[in-house]
Amino acid sequence: MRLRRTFAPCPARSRGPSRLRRSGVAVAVVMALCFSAACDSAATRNVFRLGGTEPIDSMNPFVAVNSSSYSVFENIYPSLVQVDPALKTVPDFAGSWQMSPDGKTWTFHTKPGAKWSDGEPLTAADAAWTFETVIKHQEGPTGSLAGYVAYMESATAPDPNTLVLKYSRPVANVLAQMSGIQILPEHIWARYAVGNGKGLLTFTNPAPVVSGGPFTLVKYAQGRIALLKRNPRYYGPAPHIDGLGLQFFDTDDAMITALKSGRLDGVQSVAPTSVATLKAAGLIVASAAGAAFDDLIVNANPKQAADHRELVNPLVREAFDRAIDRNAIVKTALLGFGRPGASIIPPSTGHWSDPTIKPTPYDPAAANRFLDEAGYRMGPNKIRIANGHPMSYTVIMPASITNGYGARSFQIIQAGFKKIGVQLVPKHMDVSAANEALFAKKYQSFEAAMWGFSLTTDPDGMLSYLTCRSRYSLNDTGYCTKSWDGLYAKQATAMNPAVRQRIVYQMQQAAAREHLYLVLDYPDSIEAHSPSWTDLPMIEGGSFSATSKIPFQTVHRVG
Amino acid sequence: MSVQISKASPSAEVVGPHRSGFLRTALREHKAAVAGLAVIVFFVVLSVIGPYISPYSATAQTCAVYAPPSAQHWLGCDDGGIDMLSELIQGGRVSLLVGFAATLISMVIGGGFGILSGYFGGWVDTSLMRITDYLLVIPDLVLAMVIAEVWGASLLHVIMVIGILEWTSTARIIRAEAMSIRERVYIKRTRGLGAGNARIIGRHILPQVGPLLVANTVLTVAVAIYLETALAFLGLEDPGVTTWGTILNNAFQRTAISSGAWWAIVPDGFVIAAVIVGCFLLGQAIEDTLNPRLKVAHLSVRRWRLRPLIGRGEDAI
Repeated sequence: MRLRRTFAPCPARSRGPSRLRRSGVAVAVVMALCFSAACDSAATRNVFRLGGTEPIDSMNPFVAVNSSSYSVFENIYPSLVQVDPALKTVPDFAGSWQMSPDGKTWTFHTKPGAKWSDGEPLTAADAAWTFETVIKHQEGPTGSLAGYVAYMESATAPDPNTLVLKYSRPVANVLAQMSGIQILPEHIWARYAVGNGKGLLTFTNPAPVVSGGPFTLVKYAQGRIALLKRNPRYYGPAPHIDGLGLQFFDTDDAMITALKSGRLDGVQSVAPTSVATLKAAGLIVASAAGAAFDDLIVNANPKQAADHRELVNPLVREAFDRAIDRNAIVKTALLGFGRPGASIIPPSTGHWSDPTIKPTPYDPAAANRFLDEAGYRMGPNKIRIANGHPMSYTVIMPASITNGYGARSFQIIQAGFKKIGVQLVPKHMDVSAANEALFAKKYQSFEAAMWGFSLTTDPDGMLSYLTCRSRYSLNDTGYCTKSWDGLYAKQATAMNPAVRQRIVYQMQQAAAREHLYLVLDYPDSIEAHSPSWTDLPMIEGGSFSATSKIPFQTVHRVG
Repeated sequence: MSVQISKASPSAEVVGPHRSGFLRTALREHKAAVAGLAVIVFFVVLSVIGPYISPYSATAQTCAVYAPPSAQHWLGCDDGGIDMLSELIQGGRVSLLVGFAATLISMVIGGGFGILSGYFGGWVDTSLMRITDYLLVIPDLVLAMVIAEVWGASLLHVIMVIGILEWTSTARIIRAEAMSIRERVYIKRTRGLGAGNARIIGRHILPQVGPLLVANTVLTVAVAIYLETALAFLGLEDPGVTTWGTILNNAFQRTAISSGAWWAIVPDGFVIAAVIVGCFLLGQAIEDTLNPRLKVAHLSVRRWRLRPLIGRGEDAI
């Protein structure tokens, strides 16, 4: 499954560049949380108020980037399948499914009699329309969702309760893909998909949103709040809660304080430094090994600018890898809520992660030896000279990394690099500017960046980020080789899980060998909620999930 | 004619002796200035001897994250498990260095612009003052943020950014002073005796505006330290360098407030405030001494009122 880059080690850690505006939020939320004209505690008592720091950036699935947006889509729109707390694929809108013997045709049997929140029938035709639209415009407006329909040739609905997906070749992760893409109401969206489909990008999808999932979105203020109300026409088991209120904060401090003072029922992505405070305040803190990693990216483009071309040298990359004190990062930056990073596929994905790839040990002496071997002598100011220029590199630091523990991690890395005669100079940018800086001049100009990926259990997404095809969208290193792309295609179509696992291991080893990503750590996902709520499982790193509706169907008040 | 001229000169002579001991006068007349100077001297001395008295490393982890103040760590520990006291001492070194270095740059630019502009007048004045005006109207912090972002985060860049931004008011004040000195009779006599511009500026203008420049320097140090702190707090400084601003930024990024770790914020805020107030008290006292018109009479109720933004006395707004 391809996943959008969430720009943050954990979902909802990115916070946007501004810290200067803080007021006027609480009032808006109190007003927004009142469903009825009369706002009393009885009306809001059964509403779960969830806080986050990464705001919803758009209600349009073709435009949205932030993971919180996708979590909203999952909770208001149907998906064919979803992921349960044991990471198994379970029914959602599709009650059952079959794969043809050749692996190229998938038939999904959708729930009969389903309706959208406006009363229009919700059928397999809506799903067929959604997938066909994404396929049709995948080179243009629907490009951000194209990964979910990779190799899909057609989506048809022979009858209202049957969806047939035809693929040009067997695809190994169809179910994982189908848990990540949501079905849109054709009767609302069809008018925007005319012509070249550009209209799909301009539709803001304003509240109230015609929804098919357990909730409908009734109110939305960009960057601030979203209010989801239980959808009485939902085809599945009704949630116990009447609604879900989302509030986004500019700072962790404000969010944690709101939770402690009872103005929130739960928060996503708790900073490690807050865990002790929250536990002391009697809140329930849950942490799980997240499918995420933080990384230091070093330009891997062989054609990069001459003044830092030594970065392609494997010796240099290995030296860099050994200059990173991962244990210190886990201890100081993550306060133990995480593990030292190794493979690009996190261990939390279970059998997809190659256990033979171990974290590179911190060994500045060896790193110095490698750089000596490469012929980069120590120059004045204790900075090495490579091909006539000092080994001083600008590290792009997106706001999502520096807000939180990222700055501490960087300090540790910077100190390690200093010991090997390499200077790192941070350059702060907002997230989109950081992306553009990486892609600038065809990956020739950037030197390094600190970033993170938030992944799902299926490894396809992470592996796809290193393909040539992902360049200028999610490929952040500039890496592009025929052999990687060949292996990627092979694993994508390997229907035998054991065979696919072998290829996936092979790819991880290749990435580790070439030090494509200097994986720093696998941060735990940490959430907290008030003890008056229960049954809120974390799935793939969070309860407010982009692949499962289950957590907010099961959550309920204690007693 | 010559009699009249000599009658006009006492004003310059009155200023002369008054100015030569301006620091002593300021300290004698303003008790607050003594306190201000004491604060500045204390922190400068602390910065100089800092490495010898610092109890722990200011970069390495020596205690638990957000460990509260204890006998071993008087001011507790920050989010990286670093001793706060050591970090404050080290941070002060860098913050003061940034403050003084940036001020030096801004004094050179501001003094130079002011003297050239005031002394030469005409098109030199017009062009230099237009540049000054442009920089004067742009909000400092916003421009500093932009420049710091574009150049990249490093200590040198922060010093340069602040230095480049903080000279404008100095230039204005020095220009006014230079303009008035230029018209004085002894300058005209000097020129009549054949002195060139360089000599007049070097021997006569510069010593005259010197005290005013010092007063401005002290005031600008406060602004520079404040701006440095603000930039670092906004994350625009190299996180590998410890300054009072990055200490605040780290605490803010890592939920010190909601974690109840007041020791990661309060002492740091206190020292920043102390230095800024110290510079302000001293700078104001020197300015008051040099410019008797700023002085407030003993019966005046204006003593604790804010200074007017533009103009003095009746025409103040």
